Amino acid sequence: MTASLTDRYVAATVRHIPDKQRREIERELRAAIADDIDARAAHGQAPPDAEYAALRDLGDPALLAARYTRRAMALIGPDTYPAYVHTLRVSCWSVLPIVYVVLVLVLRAHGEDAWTSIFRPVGTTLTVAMYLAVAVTGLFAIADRRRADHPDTAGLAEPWTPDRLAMADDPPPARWSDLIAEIVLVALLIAALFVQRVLSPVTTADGTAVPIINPALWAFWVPYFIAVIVLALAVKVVALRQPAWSLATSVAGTALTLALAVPLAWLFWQAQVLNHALSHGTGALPAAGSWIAWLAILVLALITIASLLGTWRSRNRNRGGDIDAGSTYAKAER
Amino acid sequence: MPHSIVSYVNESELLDAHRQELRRGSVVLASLLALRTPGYGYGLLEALDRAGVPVAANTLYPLLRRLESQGLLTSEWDTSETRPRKFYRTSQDGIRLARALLREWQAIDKALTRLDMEGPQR
Repeated sequence: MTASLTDRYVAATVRHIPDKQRREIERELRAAIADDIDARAAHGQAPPDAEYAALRDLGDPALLAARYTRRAMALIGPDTYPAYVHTLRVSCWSVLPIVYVVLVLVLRAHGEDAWTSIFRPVGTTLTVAMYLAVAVTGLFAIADRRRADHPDTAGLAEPWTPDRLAMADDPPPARWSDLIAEIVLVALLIAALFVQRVLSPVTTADGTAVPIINPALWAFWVPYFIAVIVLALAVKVVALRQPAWSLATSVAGTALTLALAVPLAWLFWQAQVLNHALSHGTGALPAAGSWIAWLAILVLALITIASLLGTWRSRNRNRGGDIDAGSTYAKAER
Repeated sequence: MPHSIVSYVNESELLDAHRQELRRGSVVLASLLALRTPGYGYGLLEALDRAGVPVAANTLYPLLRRLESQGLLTSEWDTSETRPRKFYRTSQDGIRLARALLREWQAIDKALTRLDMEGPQR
């Protein structure tokens, strides 16, 4: 005997339903469909037509199953969506320009002509953009599922208050979504450090990849930088858990930023960061104090200053909050 | 540019969409009220239809299970007939909730009527 339309419909529905509910839903659904067919037949429809019409009205079995199990019908729900967009934007704006600029510099140092140096990295940057989008989307989809499964632990997103409105000149208060963005960035950065050892835009004549970062740094400096970055992230987590600004976390943040920036600047100055093999040991790349070193140190200094300003400005805002509120009330009374 | 999920072709589609939105919340109340006398899935679907609260089958059946898991309905399989059916009945909790929801519904009705009366063109 071949399976009837109803059999196929019920099978398609319960396939998506957990075992312990499956039998009962199947029984109930069969009875309901049979009742519907009988009612339509009683109105004079031929049984096959009645079955067809009853199933058509019940609609897509996948949708029905989703309603039975109350499964989320969106990859990233409305609660998680703003943080998702924020993270995606932050990571794209920070990662992609860096990737592009580094690739341009590396190709140029390797002796490619200007056109190749400018255009070849576009493709790689687009590929990185796609990986980035997939990684961020995947992480948030998982986070969204977890939130839906444990609604009581959804404390990651604190309720919105007017305090979160951005000041005209102040950085907005740190939020979990900012931190998630940073965690994703740090994870990607560490992954990139490892990946560049085996995947590189530059290869030797026999096809082996030339790492972008100087391999000698792996003995001490790369593990050191990774440790400092992870520590800095930990400090930010601690800072976020404290409602008010604290001297300890700001000092720790500053110390870690300097512990990162100063040795890195020194290494750039000594031309020890980029692999000399990229330019076959010639040109500006292996020379200490070359234009590459100057450029790198300038960018590093700007990032460091911005980061330190961010750390210490949030102190001023938190401190100034009470005074501002007081003066506003005073004005209102006048 | 304003985002709209669906672009409505004409006014009746717009009316349908808003009406559906307005009626959505009433299905729970209607089911709880109707199931004070026990009923089964398809029977309730027809009863609600006759009562003027039409519901889609693929909305109602999962809803009944959800209300049951919330303790607002109790259920029992009736195997005395040739076709075994799951009968639902509104529990005491369900009756209490239905009363509260009904009061809410009537309050909304009153409020809307008053707003309509106060309107400029009568």
